[in-house]
Amino acid sequence: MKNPVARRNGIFSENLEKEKILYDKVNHRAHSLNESAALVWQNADGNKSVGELSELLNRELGIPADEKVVVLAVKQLGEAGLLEEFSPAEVNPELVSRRQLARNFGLAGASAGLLPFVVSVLAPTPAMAGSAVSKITPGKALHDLTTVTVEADLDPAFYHSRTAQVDLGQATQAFAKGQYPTEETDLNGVINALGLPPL
Amino acid sequence: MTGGVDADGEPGEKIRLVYSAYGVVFALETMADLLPYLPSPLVPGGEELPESDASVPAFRFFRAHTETGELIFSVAGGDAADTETAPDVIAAAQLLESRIHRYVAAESEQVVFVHAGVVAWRGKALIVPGSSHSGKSTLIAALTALGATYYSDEYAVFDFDGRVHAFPRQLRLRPDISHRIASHPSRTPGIALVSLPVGWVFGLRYSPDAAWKPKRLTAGQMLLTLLGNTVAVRRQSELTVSFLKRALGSATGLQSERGEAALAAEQIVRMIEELG
Repeated sequence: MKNPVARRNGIFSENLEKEKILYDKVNHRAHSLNESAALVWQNADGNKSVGELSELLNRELGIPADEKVVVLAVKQLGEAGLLEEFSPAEVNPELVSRRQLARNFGLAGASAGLLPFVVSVLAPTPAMAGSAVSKITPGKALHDLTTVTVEADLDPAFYHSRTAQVDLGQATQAFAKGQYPTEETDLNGVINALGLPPL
Repeated sequence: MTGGVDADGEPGEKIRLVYSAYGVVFALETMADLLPYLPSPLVPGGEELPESDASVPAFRFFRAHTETGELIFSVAGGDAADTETAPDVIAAAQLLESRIHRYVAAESEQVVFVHAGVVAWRGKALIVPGSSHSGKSTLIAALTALGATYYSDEYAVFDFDGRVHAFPRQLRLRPDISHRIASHPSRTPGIALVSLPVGWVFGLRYSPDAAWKPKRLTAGQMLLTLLGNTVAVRRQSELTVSFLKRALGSATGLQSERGEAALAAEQIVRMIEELG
């Protein structure tokens, strides 16, 4: 395997207590690296071999000096787009199972947590993170229902009024016609919580 | 305020108001008689400015008619280029409010907006990040029913010091009934909700057959859970990471699938009581 080279262009990092957060401004992904993955990324300068990096991990974190640990880190960093060059073909997946390595080294619990681990998330656009209610959605219908019922909490007479019943009827119909499956929205959960009959 | 006509040519009192919220200034153009359908303040934590600045971006909220003559309400302005319409004034007001909130959340450089539900529990913020339709409003309502204080079911607002500010979405009551119903105890407009340190972050995913198996999140995973729901992270990633890092200093993060909201709320409360 070639000496790994970390990608640093367009990436900024922030250190947490035992982790490193990397934000990739090019691909808009955020990554959390545990200590060993972070150590490999920091030292992957193209000059250190996989063997040298495994010795570094052993020296700094007490992880058994085995190249497979570095290969596991390289695989995860490469798949996350955090290396300059990465060829998945170079990595034999059978050799770099995290679970298998933990078993081989007799690591369990917190010790197993020392093996390289990278978690990634896509940074959303404002629209992705936003709360769109432009169509009839469960969220909107839910708000309608909640509004009606909250009003009913305060004024039972209103709950039985024509206005409330029309609102409630429209909201219920919106649920029934919604394009969103109930298993994704917990609609019946809120209906139960509000003391209304299920849809 | 000036006299004029609305977008459909109907006479009325046309008004232009300028607001400021979290360092974002914007205007609203509408008819005076539509104003009672909007919440006040228009953005939680925001205020109306006395001067009328013609240069700031404007949102528009007017009546219109379809080709067949039906009355509709139109909403425009902000980050979305299109004009949205609704047949009902309350629905249109909701569209406008959401649009304005999205705009402020995306543009503010004073605070970081994370799409999340928030309640206060024992003096700390309990945050449930999640996108729309993830059921977080339901869960927040269930937590409130167990004694938590409602802070938001839309955004968690983080300041420079990492404290979380309330962003309570207000009920939009029809003017014909608002004189009878002042407020709801769990969502009292104008109540003083102080900013809080973060106590807990729950990364939850609804599934009808879910088994409650909470797993501790590391600080990094907790930060990623928030980043994945942060509105302006792409535009101001450094600021976002630094604000959120500060916020999570002493927070506990947990992740699990969850079932119905009422049950999940009980499980959450039991869990945080056990954790002390």
